[in-house]
Amino acid sequence: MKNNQDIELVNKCLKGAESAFKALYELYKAYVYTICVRYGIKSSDLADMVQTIFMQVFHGLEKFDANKSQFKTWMTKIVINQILMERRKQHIRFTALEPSENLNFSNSYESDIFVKMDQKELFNILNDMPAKYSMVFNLHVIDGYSHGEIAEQLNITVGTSRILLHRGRSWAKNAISSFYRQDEKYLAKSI
Amino acid sequence: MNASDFDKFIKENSKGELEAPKALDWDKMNFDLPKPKKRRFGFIWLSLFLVGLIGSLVYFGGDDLDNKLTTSLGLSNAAKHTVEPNVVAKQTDQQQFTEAIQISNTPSHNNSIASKSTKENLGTQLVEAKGLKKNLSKSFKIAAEVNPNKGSRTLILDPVEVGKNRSNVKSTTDKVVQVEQALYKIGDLDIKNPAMLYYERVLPKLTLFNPSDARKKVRLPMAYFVGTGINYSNLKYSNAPQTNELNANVRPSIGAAFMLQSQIALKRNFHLLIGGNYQSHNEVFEYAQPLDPQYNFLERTKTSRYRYVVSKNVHHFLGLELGIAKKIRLTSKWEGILSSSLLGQYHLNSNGKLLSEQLEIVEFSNHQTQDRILLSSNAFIGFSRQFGDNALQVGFNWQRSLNKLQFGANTDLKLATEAYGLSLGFIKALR
Repeated sequence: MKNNQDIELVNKCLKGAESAFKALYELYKAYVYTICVRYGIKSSDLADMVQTIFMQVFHGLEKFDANKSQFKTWMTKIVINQILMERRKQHIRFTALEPSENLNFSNSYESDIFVKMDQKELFNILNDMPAKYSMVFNLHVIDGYSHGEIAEQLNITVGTSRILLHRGRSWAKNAISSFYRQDEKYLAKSI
Repeated sequence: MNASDFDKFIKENSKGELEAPKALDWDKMNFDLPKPKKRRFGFIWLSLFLVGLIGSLVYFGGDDLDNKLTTSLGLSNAAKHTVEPNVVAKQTDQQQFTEAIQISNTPSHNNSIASKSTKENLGTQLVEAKGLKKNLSKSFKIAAEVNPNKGSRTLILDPVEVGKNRSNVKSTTDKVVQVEQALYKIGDLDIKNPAMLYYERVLPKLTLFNPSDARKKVRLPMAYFVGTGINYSNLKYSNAPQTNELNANVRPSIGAAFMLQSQIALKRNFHLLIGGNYQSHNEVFEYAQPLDPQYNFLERTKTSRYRYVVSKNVHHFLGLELGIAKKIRLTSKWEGILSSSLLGQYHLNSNGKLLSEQLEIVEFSNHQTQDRILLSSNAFIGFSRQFGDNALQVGFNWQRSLNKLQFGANTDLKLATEAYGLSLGFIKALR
């Protein structure tokens, strides 16, 4: 149903209707914003990034094929692609380990704390994750990319992708556990 | 807790959407909204329509259009004749002159002369000449005189005796035959016709019959064009992640072109163009590649560093051209030329630098072309100045690719070309 609405809006956009562009933007700005936050785009860069992404979407609408994918899926690819472009500009090295990197993650977690968490708090925690873990973690765990696809996107090997994911996961578990330990009241409630 | 459960926990808690801040309100964003694009098909259909239209004009209306243009420009083929100033028209009967001109312009008459290339045709020629005798006798008596004059011969057609000697039909017929035979036998005729001379002076806008034109129609004139030029190329990359960065960091530049073309006349002023050319489409790649910053911990400063690279990118093409041209005579020496053609280009290679998907600077040599054939449409407007059978041609053309080149096996990077060109060349006509 929503896809039909999307297609209708896309068709109107292709005819140049500004109201359709606005409607499309209003429909998806929160979604795009959420992905940007999740991938750790700095709050000072968020508005620019969202604008750039929507410009890409608006100017690429004629390439959208409703028979091949849903509009949201197609747009998500553009969003992630743009974020990857931005990350590439920062020259993040996805291969070598920094000497200062702390790899002493705890292996024991209280599984009962991983039940329900406020989305904003979760994103705040994950935003502190080192960028090279964060990219692989987000792409695989949340956006469902395979290691092969991640390796291709980030120009790394599949093995490196697996290692970075493992470390990202460990980092995230550790950070979430620490967060709960600091907030005893919240922990008590969830128990 | 295993990895799968943890991933599930993260995914479920990331599902919702955050509330977008006020800074992302539509009114606060500055979008350059795209205008609805005209479909490329429209351009192709327009090109095909124009080619069809020109083709139709050539096959169905070429002669009429040509004559109208010639008439409207105040030109006549008779203007090309060599006439002696002491020959004066004495004819006073306007109607008779008109009839004479009509006879002169009848296609059958043209064809009858044009087809007399062998002695076997002479019998046919006689029959046709007899058919003409009635019309001719109405207007003028032909007194054919063959005068050796420095190797050339002269025919004098005198309308003065018309009317006085209507009974001398047989004699007129014989003279017509003599004229035809003379046209057949003598390659280099110089017609001195007082009636034509009269029209040349009194009604210069009428097209008069010129036997040499009839001969031209038997052997269609052909010309060769050799030229060189420059083109200003606007190249667009598309379809790959680095497209935006790449397009933002290249700017158009001047390239070179060399062309060889044969122009085959379909009708007098319509030409089929077949040719080959070489083109180089150039651009300047200019990119500041960010390097690792330098930190000075004592002074607590961070220095951003860039590698600044400027490279001239050159794309080489060999092309085959097929098109159609219309020539419009402007003055006795100047012609205007309009042409439209399709160009099939083979991409030889590209030199220079570009950006990879990781925004690294790489060489074009690392990106082998996958689709080497580029189909382009070309429109040309120009002028030529004649010097005898030769001419100099100068013109402006606009060329646009209809498909795209694809670079690299592991990338979808595509390239489309658009170029504006100036060309100068030499035309050698063959008769």
